[in-house]
Amino acid sequence: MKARSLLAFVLQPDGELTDWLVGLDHWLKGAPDFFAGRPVLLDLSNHTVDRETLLDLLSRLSQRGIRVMGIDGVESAWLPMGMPPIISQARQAGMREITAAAALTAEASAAGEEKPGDEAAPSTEDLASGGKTLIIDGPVRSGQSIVNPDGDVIVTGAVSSGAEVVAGGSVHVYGALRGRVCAGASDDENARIFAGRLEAEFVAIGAVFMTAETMDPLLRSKRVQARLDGVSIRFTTLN
Amino acid sequence: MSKVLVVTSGKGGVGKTTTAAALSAALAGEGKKVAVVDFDVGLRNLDLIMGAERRVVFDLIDVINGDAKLSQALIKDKRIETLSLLPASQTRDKDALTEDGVNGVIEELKKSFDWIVCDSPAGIERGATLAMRHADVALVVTNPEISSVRDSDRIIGLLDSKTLKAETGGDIEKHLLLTRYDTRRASRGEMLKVEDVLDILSIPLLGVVPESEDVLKASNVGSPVTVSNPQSAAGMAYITAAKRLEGADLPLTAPTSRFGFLKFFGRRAAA
Repeated sequence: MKARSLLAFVLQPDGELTDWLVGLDHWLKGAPDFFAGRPVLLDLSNHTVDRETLLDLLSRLSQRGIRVMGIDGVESAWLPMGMPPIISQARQAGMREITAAAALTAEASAAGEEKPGDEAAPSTEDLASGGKTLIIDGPVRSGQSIVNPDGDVIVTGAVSSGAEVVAGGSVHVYGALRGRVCAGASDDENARIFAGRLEAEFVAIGAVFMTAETMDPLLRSKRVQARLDGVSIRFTTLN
Repeated sequence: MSKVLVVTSGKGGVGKTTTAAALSAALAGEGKKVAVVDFDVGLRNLDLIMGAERRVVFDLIDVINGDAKLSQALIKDKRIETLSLLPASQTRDKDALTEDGVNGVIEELKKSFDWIVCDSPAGIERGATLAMRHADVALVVTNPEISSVRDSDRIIGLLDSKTLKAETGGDIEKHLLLTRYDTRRASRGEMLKVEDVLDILSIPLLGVVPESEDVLKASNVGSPVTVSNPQSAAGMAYITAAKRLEGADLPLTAPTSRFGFLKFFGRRAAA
């Protein structure tokens, strides 16, 4: 038997469902394919929903290309056949506390700049074991994906074009960074990205991302670090 | 002890089959017993490149299915006694290629050959993963262009995770063979330089085969360039590569050249 764990996004609607959907639409405009092909769990523990509301919400999410593979926070007794299964362990398995995210969202909206994505909380292994740094000796090849949801990732080699590194904390790449990197994936706005040579296709810190096209060409091939500056990513060269 | 070598690349058209043929012939020319196996079920070409297409009776799938014995399917090369070819099936469904079946064939080949050279199909599907499955050594064939390099990078990742050797905690030996290299175009920035490719792929370089008419001619007459024109730059590059695979401590430079090997090739290719 083969098994593997994977990272799933947990959508936890807050506030009025219709308002939340409007916010989601707004955000999806900036990243239309964000949920394409990604596993999504729906956490409704903040809501008391009936069957009709749930069915309606699922179909609305489905219209937006979001396919829910599991539901948390509802009573299993009345969940009809053909619906995504109840994932009751998700919470115990160390789902991120939502309060921090809610606070962050509030902060962002207070600043007048909306950059949600906070509702998309990654979750996998036990948070209690978190904070551990993952060290990858050698290169990360095209097609490989390195994920450490709770700690830093250090790559001693290069990250190839078509490879992906996701960290809850910071990402350090001592070789050339040619692939995709997401730091602060669990809403750590202090997370940074360090690259021995910046040739990245895509970088993200928290919910803010940049593609190669929008990066300053002067930074190319430089030793840089990137950090979050409000709602933008600021690069500085390292010497 | 016999060794299993996979010739792979990810991308198509970079010269896997040409390389498998030329290298197998060069290894066999050194007196080694070599079996070269075509894993490209449905799009077989190795028999043509080796000039054996008119002698194919049984194929790899027949052996896997038990319809033929390995000894019946192996085609002995007419020029080099120690070289044999196991052709792919052109007509069968490639799902007939099974892990157990391939395992059985490789194990049996190991009993009577020093080198088993597996010519991988392009892509990262079943044929390609099964071709690399049992490899001890991998030869990653790459052209100096970004699409080929990225695909090679992907293949190296698979070699490090999906081969038996990698799964049992071992390290598969990987080498880079840069083919269709044109020094003049590289220096004009029209293709990647050797250094650029090495920088991205970071595996040891086994050799650089220059873009050459001789290779094309050799393919068309069904004779590996190491047999039809061993003195050509491409032929010599393959022969040196084969010797280096065997562990010979040969430099990448030509022995007589006082220049770097790139300059050497540049001069040869320009002639």
